[in-house]
Amino acid sequence: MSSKTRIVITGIGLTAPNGNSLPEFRGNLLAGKARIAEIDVRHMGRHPAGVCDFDATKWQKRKELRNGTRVGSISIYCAREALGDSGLVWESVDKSRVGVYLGITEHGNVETENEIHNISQFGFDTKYWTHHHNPRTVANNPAGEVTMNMGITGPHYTIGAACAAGNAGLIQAAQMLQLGEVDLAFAGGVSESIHTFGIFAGFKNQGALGAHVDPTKASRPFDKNRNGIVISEGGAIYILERLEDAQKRGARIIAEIAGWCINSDATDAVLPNPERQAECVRLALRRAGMRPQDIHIVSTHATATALGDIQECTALREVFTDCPGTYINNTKSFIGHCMGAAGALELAGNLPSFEDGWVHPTINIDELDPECALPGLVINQAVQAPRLEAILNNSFGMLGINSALIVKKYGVA
Amino acid sequence: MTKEDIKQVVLDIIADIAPDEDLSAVKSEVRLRDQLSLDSMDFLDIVMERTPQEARD
Repeated sequence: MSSKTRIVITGIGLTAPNGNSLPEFRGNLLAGKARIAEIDVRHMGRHPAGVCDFDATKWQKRKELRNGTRVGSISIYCAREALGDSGLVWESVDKSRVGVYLGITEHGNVETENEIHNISQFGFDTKYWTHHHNPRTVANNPAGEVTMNMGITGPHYTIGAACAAGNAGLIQAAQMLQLGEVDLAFAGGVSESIHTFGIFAGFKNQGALGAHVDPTKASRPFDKNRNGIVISEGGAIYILERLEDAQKRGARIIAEIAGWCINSDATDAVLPNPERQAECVRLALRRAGMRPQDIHIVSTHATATALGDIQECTALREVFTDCPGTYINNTKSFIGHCMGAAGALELAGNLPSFEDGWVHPTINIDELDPECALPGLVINQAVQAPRLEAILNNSFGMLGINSALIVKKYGVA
Repeated sequence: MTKEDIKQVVLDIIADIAPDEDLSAVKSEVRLRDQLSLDSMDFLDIVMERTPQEARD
């Protein structure tokens, strides 16, 4: 195997606050339909959040739901749906040659907060601490629950990459396929973060938690009056294969992984560095053998923080000069910030553009911040485009992690 | 308690832990692990359900 081995996407399964399948998700993105609710957050009152409503019992028995985690449930749902989408005959697959690579922002906060709350009712006596805590909170839990549910005996682990985790899961899987470690990969990103109050509190005390009287308008990347992040849960898992294997079994090929980059700012724990972001994008382009003009959709990371959106626009402005065929959008305006799932979901929302010829917008822009004005930014309404063959999927995270993943339409040069 | 009483107590706990399991044909003479899809954490749940709080100290 080599780094020249071509990797393709042959199945997608997802749950987002506004859709539990790719067609439903895509339909709502093109129609401009956001879905953010107000939820009760322990110790913090009511806040907007993206809540998924997939049927968790579709692929799990009630015992599994009782013993496992919310993010494990999200992971199993997405993996099973991706399998169904792929056309693979699961009984014929060598399970020892299947890998599970899931990006996460964090794991364990939900269970730990719940247990501390539980034992607070008993004077913090730790004999009341659940024996389920350790398997629920180990970092590999989401990927491990998938292997247990599906009988997978190949490698599984999670990739901790802050809000770049969704891209990181896909990149890791592509690399493992190129190395010949596995023949099939379930890869993507997942998150249960709306169920932890600590993340809400952390963002609020940073002055970065979004709010609006209408929760569906609370996530407003690039808007002049944006005021922060809407936290959401969700997941997107892809089936990745080597091209020759997909062709051999007559698979429907959704798209091809063209190139990627992960780098680090090495400057600040929270504030992004546009110079490093631009560097990351340029390196991904070089590895894909592409120029900026070859990218037709840039899916931005932008989370609706005051500075973060501006920094990303600065980076994009530097890279994408004179690119009249490049459109720019943002999915967080619809579903909030799905944390570990963000990059994976946002890529999924754009992939159908290769077939349907539309670019979904970034919504909730009532007044565009002049510092976020970019040529090609698709505002509030979807647009049709004559040529859509490559997507740049940006995801950036705390501690200065940057990721850029380029996916192209299969069959084009 | 009779053997049947004990069996019913255990089955009641299993019904709570694993509500999707069919318990109608469970045999006393065969290991539970060989009849039902229960893993180590499930058995720990059964034990913890039946361990008096004083015994946990």
